[in-house]
Amino acid sequence: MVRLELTKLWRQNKLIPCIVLLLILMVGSLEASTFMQGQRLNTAEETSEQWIKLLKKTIQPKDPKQWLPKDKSAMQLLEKQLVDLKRRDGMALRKDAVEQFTQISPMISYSGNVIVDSNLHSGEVEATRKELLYLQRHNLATMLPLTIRTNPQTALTNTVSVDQRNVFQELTQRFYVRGWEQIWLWSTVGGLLVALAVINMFLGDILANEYDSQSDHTAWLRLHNYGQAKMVLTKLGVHFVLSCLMLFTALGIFLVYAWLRNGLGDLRYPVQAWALGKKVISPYSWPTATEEANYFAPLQITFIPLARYLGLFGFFGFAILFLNSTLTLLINRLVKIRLLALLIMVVLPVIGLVLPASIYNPFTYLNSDWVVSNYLGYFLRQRSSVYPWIIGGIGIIAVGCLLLTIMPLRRKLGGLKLAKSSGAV
Amino acid sequence: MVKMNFEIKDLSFAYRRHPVFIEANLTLMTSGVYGLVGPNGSGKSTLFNLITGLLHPTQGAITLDGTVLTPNLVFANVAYAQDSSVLYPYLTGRDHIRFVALQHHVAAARIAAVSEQLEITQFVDQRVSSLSQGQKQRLMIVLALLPEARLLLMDEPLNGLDPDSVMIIRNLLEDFKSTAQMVIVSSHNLDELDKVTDQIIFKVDQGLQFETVADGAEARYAELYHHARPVKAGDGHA
Repeated sequence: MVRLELTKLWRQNKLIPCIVLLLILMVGSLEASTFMQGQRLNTAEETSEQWIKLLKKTIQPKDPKQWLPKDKSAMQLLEKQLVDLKRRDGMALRKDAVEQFTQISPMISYSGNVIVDSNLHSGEVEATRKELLYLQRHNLATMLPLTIRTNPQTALTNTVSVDQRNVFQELTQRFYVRGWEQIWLWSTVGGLLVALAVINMFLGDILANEYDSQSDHTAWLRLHNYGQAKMVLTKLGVHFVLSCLMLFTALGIFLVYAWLRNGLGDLRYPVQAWALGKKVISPYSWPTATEEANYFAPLQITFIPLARYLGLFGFFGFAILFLNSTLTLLINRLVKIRLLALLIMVVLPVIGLVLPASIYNPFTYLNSDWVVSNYLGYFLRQRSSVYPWIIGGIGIIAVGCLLLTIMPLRRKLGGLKLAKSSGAV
Repeated sequence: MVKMNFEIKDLSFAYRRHPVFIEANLTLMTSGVYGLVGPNGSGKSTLFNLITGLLHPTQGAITLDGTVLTPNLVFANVAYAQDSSVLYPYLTGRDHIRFVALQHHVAAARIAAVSEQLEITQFVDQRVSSLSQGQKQRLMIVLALLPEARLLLMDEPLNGLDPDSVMIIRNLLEDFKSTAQMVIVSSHNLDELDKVTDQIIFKVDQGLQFETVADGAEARYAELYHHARPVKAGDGHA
């Protein structure tokens, strides 16, 4: 039976094209990130040069030889940052940034702004400092360009004026140009939903296909001891395993490409997460520090290695793929029109990408980055990690979908359904 | 001829308000080839679907050698050559055969012999969508023959066939006369049916009527359906 299902999908040319499309999207995403990073780094160099010139003009007295020692060292640090930026030296830039945090007003030279500007929460500035210390502790290079660590809803919750938007973007927008970093990026931008849409484009009609072409193929299968329940379970297994295989095959090839292109990156790289912990006390006296240092209370910003983040994301991905498989079968069972079933299964994940976050939006609970980093815990005002609850919830819903699919339709005496579909009278 | 006992007892079935069978009865006692005849839409395919459990009767029972046909019993004892539209257009004939062979544990030699007999070897590796109606019909019959079921149901096997295919299937039906299998063939092609059997089951009103037609099925068909007459649900016995 498994062989028959695999043969059907193979003969319909659904497997290789799906992998190829996934791969194109993955590689395209990496290339776009690499291209945009290049653009941003060039802009950052220009801004930095202009900003340093401007600063030099404002320092009194005019003659650099007569500058106060603190101005001299601040300017030297900025110039060093520019040199390191030009050399694309992540390690040196990280050292520079750590040094900046010993200044009264830390500054990322190419933004032209001190990092407590732009209405950033002090918690975010603290997070940036913590991240830099983490990088220093593990001797890791920073992603380029070095940016402020922001929270998932910073852009929504902070009132950024129009003239500051570019500065805000320069301060906060990261570019994930290495293999592992790309997977991290996909987690934050809903890549899993995109992958589901692509997979469903090819496998979204796995059951409805049986009723298509004005013929009920199941009438033939049932004669050969391949009944409804067996068929649904077989198709579930095939759908789930193939979804995983296709995704991981594409991912495997992508990682080889990424390794050759920009490298895979370091799996120890810090990823921001939220957990119950000690209250953040900022060592600075920034205006927002005292009020908002504990912005996420009772949760606190913490950092976990990228490897742990990706591991949790991977398991979450498995759960989502299983839910997708059971939901596909249920929708197929209910709709039975191949094209309509396909349409629903492709549109459904896409809707999840555009709907705003809300406790009433089920896709909010499927936001992999929020679940894995436990930002969802803050969003839902929870004290503990929501990850096991979300995984459990997905499992329960998936089993529910499966039971609804297998549950025999109320047997109609007279069997109108079959007669209609097969034209048999 | 081998002794068998296929029985339909008090079978009733309806599509919503349209009754197809009302307490219909039929008893066939020996192996051999039987024709099933009735006008379009009278319920011939419905009867096959009821026998194989694809449809469920509102009342009555269908038994083989005294045992009510269950899905497991149907799987083990009944083969049904349905309309070829149930085949998957994107699969090849061999893909279909492989599935049936695996399900019924059919030996490779048997597959080769049946494929040879129905002359499908030349197109067995083509996709079903590229086959002619006759080729699809022959493939469908091969699939039904593979399990060597005791009861074989063939739904309009002669429909839309080219002369070569008609001859192949006619020869096949002739062969069945001397086997231990019971074969029920529904057909509109009464000429062809006459060539292979004179034992006909007529679907008359909401009943089944079994007759041995010495003068041919066509003449009897004319009597039964072209000249309106009040016929009550009938009982047929062979």
